[in-house]
Amino acid sequence: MNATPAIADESFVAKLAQLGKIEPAGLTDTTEITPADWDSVDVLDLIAAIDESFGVTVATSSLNECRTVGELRTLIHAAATSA
Amino acid sequence: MAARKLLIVGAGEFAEIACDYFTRDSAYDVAGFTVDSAFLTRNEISGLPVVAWDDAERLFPPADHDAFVAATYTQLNRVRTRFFHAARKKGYRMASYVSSKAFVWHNAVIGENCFVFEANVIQYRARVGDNVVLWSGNHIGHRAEIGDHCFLSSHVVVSGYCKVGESCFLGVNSTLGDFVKVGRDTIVGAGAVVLKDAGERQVLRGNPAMPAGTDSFRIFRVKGEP
Repeated sequence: MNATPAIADESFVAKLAQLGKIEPAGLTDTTEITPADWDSVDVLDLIAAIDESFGVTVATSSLNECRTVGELRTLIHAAATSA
Repeated sequence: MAARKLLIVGAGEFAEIACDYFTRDSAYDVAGFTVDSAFLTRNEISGLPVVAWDDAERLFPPADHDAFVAATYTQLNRVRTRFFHAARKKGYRMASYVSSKAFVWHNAVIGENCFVFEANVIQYRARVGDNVVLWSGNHIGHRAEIGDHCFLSSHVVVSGYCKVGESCFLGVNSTLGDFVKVGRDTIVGAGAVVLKDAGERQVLRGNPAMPAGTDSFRIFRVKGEP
């Protein structure tokens, strides 16, 4: 079984940190994110960033279920492998 | 007089809703649905046929069918706009639905292929362009103008004399103060209160609303345009 790849895209990490109000350097798989509590424009901004960095579209409902960076990583990976 | 027949372009949730509303609350009889062949995944909706877009005018001739494009705001209204123009090109007359439970003053103007849900208030000399969706409960104030191809979600307040450019998206509970002008392709986020004029392709949010520092085409994934 392949390991889920890390989020290596620096511009995406910067965007995620900005939207989630997290220090980019401190961003790990266990870092908590709560898109469900974000402003709707921020959620769309993150969906756009995921598309730009990874070429996949994720649904708002799926994004809102993410509680950690690791869960977001898994979601992106699943979307990429099913595309 | 026999009811006019209607072809609905689309087969998603909005298409099903439009079918029910036109059937129960308009002079139209819905005859069927049509979608791009790539999205033709089922043959019937509510007992009515779904056909490929390329076969639409053969199976539902424009001579005795009007059309309504039931698409929401995908790609900042571009999908709805594309099919609106394409349906006209095929020769269809475009139908609008205005709920019997909406308030529309006698001298307000509503364009083609509009869908006006219940509890909308459209006041004195307000103008709603073509291909506009007003989901439920919006207020369009006196002499306000909504440009073609806009989507107003729900409970949006567009105050008197406002001008909203083409293809804008106004989120739920957003508000535009009196005389505010918003340029085309602008997104107003949910609950935003816009008190100053805004340019094109803006993304506005907050109270008072401020630009979010990104472009509406990026947020709504509009591709293939400069």
